[in-house]
Amino acid sequence: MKKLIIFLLTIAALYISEPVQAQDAKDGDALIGIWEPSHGKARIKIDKIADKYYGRIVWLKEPNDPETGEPKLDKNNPDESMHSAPLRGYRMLKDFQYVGDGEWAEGTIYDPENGSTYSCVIKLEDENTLDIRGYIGVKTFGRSDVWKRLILKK
Amino acid sequence: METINIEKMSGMKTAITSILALFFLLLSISNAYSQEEAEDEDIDWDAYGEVEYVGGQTKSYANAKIVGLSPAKFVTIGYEQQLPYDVRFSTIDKDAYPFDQDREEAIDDNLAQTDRVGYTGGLRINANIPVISTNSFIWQMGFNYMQSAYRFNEDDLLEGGLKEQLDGRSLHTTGLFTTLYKPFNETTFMLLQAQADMSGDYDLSNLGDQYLRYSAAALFGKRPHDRLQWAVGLSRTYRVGAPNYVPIILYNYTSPNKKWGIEALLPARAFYRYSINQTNLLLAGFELEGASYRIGGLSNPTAGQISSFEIRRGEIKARLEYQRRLVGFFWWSVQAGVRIDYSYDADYLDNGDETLRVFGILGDAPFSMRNSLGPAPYFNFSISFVSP
Repeated sequence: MKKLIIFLLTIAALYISEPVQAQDAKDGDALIGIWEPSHGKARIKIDKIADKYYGRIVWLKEPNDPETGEPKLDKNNPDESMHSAPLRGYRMLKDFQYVGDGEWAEGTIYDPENGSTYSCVIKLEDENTLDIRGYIGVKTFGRSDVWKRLILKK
Repeated sequence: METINIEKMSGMKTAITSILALFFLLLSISNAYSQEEAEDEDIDWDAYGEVEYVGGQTKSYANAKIVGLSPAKFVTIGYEQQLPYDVRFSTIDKDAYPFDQDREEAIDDNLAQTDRVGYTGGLRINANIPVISTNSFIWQMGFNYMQSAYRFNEDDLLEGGLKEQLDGRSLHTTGLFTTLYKPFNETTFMLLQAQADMSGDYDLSNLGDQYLRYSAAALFGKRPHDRLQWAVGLSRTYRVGAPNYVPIILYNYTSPNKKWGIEALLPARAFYRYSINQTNLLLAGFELEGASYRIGGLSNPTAGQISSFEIRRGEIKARLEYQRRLVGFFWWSVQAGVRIDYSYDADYLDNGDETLRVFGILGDAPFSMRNSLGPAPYFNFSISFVSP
């Protein structure tokens, strides 16, 4: 009987906490969408997969490599097996988790210009503006950028 | 009866557990399916070219770097050593050596000491920490320390003078600097730097503002595209030993194939860069390095006054440098080259008043000592924490 009471209380607690979790998930989903970094040379689509957020490059201002005339490849990646992977479609934001207060952390950002992957934290400045900071080790050794939200024209 | 109830409850518990397990199983299958769907969806890439800026258009600013540059160093710890070389020191005589007199001739006529320096070297530390680093403004604070320890050979019978002050001792430069980078738009930017150094033969017991020197630089420039950055400006510098005001030119360039480039801040340094790959690069060029070192033992402080004997050390270092990633964001670098003496003359300053000697154009103050150092091969090894 005692075990059953504990079990029922657990179920009850789950029911009570569900709205809070649902609200967190809803807030976290504010990151989903299409965003443009301040340099304007790429657009990134952020999606949610399971409970984490990922961003893919969906548009490049200069899609082709000026040297080859072919679509740009991830040729700066330290992993040579990635050198033939096209940049368009590349998942440059990975593993972000919503930690509350309009902030996503625990993720990484990849810079195709130099092949480096940085730790990253994202803050929602307003519903259409992100402050995105890539850093090495501690946040001091980093750089912030402002990303703006885009929507597709119908 | 109670046994039956327990059995019923136990059955109910099992049923609820089974339902929950089934629910979570279905949920995980659904998530996995969604993930697979996101991976394989047939994306209309062209659609992302036609967009509306719901949050206002992005504002682009000139990036502080260009592509292909050698990695920016946050923290560097290194060691440098010069191989043995000959020195010739004149007598010390306040303001006795006219600015336009040939240096070798002045030393020949007033030779006090000749010797061979067996060892010159020491530790080098540099830290450059971002305080604010955004796409529209960068503010960095930095620290640098440079040691030059000297050990003379014992074959010179003459004692005293400058040799006695240097032999077995170290000259130090310890400084703080701040750098501001402000882009105004996509291509135009301004760069400001200010630095305060303590240079001399001090130790912790006699460290004071009599060793303090200030330098600064201001640049205004353009970054026409991702592979080119240039700027012009003015600096107050001790790189040639004595304080000087010189126009400066920043020029950073990377070739279209990103294999080679130029990294220059003239007249302080200029390097040709060859990128073997993303984690290996070669630099070949020169750097002008120097400081004004107060020598405490030859300075004569009197009550209420600061008199200072200053070695105006300026060196041209022609070198080849190889940089390579060690692991992660740590890189190591080795330099080998020749140190060529530009200035090792000295001034005697009364009351801390500086001597103005801007290449003889804006000032032609006489020297108080003239010295020459023979060329010396040198090497440097360092490890850095970098931002590629």
